Amino acid sequence: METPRTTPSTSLALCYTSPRRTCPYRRTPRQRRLAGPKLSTSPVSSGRLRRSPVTQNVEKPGALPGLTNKTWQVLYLSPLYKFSTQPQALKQYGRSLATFLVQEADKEIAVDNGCTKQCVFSVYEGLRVNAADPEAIQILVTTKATNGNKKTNGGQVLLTAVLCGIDLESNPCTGLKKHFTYYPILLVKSRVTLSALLKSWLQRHFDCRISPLMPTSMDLAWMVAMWSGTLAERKNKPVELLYSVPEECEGLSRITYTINAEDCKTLWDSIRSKGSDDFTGEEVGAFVKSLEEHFYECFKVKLWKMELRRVGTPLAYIGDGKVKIFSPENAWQVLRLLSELALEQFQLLATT
Amino acid sequence: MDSSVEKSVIRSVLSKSLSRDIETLVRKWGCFSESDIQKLNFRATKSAIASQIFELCKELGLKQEIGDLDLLCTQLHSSSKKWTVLKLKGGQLKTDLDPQDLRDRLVAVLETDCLGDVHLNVKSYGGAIWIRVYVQGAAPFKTTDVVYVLSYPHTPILIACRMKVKMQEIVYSALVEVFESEEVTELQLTGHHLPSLADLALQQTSQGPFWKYRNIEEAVNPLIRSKVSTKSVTSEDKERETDERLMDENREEKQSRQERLDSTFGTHAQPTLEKLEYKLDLRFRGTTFAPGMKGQPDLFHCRVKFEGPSVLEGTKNLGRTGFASLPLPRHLAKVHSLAKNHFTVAEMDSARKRPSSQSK
Repeated sequence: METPRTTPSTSLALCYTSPRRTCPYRRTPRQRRLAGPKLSTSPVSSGRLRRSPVTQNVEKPGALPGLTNKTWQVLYLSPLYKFSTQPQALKQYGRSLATFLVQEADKEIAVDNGCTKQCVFSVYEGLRVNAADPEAIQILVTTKATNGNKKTNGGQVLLTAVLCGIDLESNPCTGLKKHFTYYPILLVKSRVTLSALLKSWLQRHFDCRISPLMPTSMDLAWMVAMWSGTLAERKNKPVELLYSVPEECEGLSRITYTINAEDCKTLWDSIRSKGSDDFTGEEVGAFVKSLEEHFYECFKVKLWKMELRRVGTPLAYIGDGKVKIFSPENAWQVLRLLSELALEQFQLLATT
Repeated sequence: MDSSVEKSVIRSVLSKSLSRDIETLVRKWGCFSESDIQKLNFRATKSAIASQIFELCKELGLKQEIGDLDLLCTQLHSSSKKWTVLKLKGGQLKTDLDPQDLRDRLVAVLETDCLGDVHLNVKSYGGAIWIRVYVQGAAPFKTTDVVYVLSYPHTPILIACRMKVKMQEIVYSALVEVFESEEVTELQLTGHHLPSLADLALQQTSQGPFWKYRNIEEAVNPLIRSKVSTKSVTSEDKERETDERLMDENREEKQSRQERLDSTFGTHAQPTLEKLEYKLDLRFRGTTFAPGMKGQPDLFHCRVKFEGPSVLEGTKNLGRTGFASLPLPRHLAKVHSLAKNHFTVAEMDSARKRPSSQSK
């Protein structure tokens, strides 16, 4: 396993990780993979394979129904205890969650409009890149029409959630007994109250811990640097960096820096060393630093002293614990990095 | 006027204001007598009050005046709308019209142009003449169809709220005709805070050395010489003054920063703007870290937005706190003089003999 430790080799990287950068600091890997999954060097022995890798599935556009062009809340999890993907077990989870939701609804004062909820757990196809990946699970909570008004509010989707983990380099459960299944991230889209209920049910039922995944300034810098060069074919979303201005500077709260996607690609190409699948810390430093320098030359404002809060790339918009993915072809790339960050976050918590 | 429109106007007015303010609003409006107001129950729900007021209006035969109520409400809640500053162009503008005159002229112009019933209210308030235009067509009443325009007498400045494109053509051409101007242009200045917008548009020369003159001129009595204490003293400063052991190593630097900022921005409170927008068509300048981009002839297009409750105060603070180096570039420091908040910054050769970082 590669230890995520930064040993800046050049002065550039040193400059980028210098203490002037906003906190919090975490160890950052020296490089991250940019291109497709390394199938040849997959650490999984073929003996454990139950299925052949489904990479072809991923490349098919539209293979991920309902995942793209939606704003998801991103959460990270600790390993789930006694979680099974057997159809029977999934059915039972659905019933259990539905009962739980009914109980919780009873506790509150009648705000609900009297409709019961139906919960369905199902296997979400097309998100497996590596044979070692756990099968992605989709959780769907819909309203079930009760007294006759089927047409009006039956089948209305209240919550969509996807449990997934893509192309992890290591599994924290390998040393443990096989009762544990590790899903690094959970994507949720629903009202806050309902997602909180789902969270508490999962925590109780599988004895795990769920918290929102908040990428740091540094992680966001990685994302914007890695994905700015990947352009979709048609209309390209511009590259966007949103900085929050520190509180002592009253009157100004945020600065949005939007860059034309094609122009950004030119810059990216000039920085990126060709012929390598890995993206290095030095390249990230050079990319973000040069953008900030350009801004400084235009406005004399030092962006590197501010916190990077949200980034937008042609692939996805990420920030404040939320993600919105644009193209299904590259969704796995975004989700893989999120899984990686979630794993790093979890390992950080597990070791301290 | 169709009675359903009146009812919707009253409802929209009440929904915009707080329930405890409704009574004062109705009193300010001044169309009901004291005994009428006594009859109203201001403790009821907003929709109940709305129907009470509507019934009362029907009894008293008030129709035109309901527009005044809406205008009054807009005056009190002006920051909820987004305003655009307009400028009239032409040699001989007729900007000294009194409200009644303006109303008559506008009605005459609008009724020939519009298909439908024109509702027009004109009131003078806070140094400006407020105009409310609503053209009743076949569609039901929507608050977004109402147009508000402010005219500042004796100046070519107008401020209008956001409106639909179709309405915009009609209203702009009507304004041109009424003020006997050649055309109406939009200064690229928008925002929510009306006094600041007016201030920026009307006092373009108030930056730099002029702020001192303006401070004196706008004082209550310019002949009385009193000590001008414009600098605010924070508690931190006070503590530092009282305790001699505390010492600020960067005091001189901070002071010189403050002085430089004061000379560009002035010491008075800055006008409130919520947004500054820039479109940059410049060559890439971050070549220290990206040497490959040196000599790149193509422009690096980007857009930059500064947002916050008071952006001008914020830019001043950027300089004060050291998040920006001084001197600030012209397009950031001279927003007052340029009187706009949407800029295009272009390279010198592409914008034909304009100095670089000059805003168009």
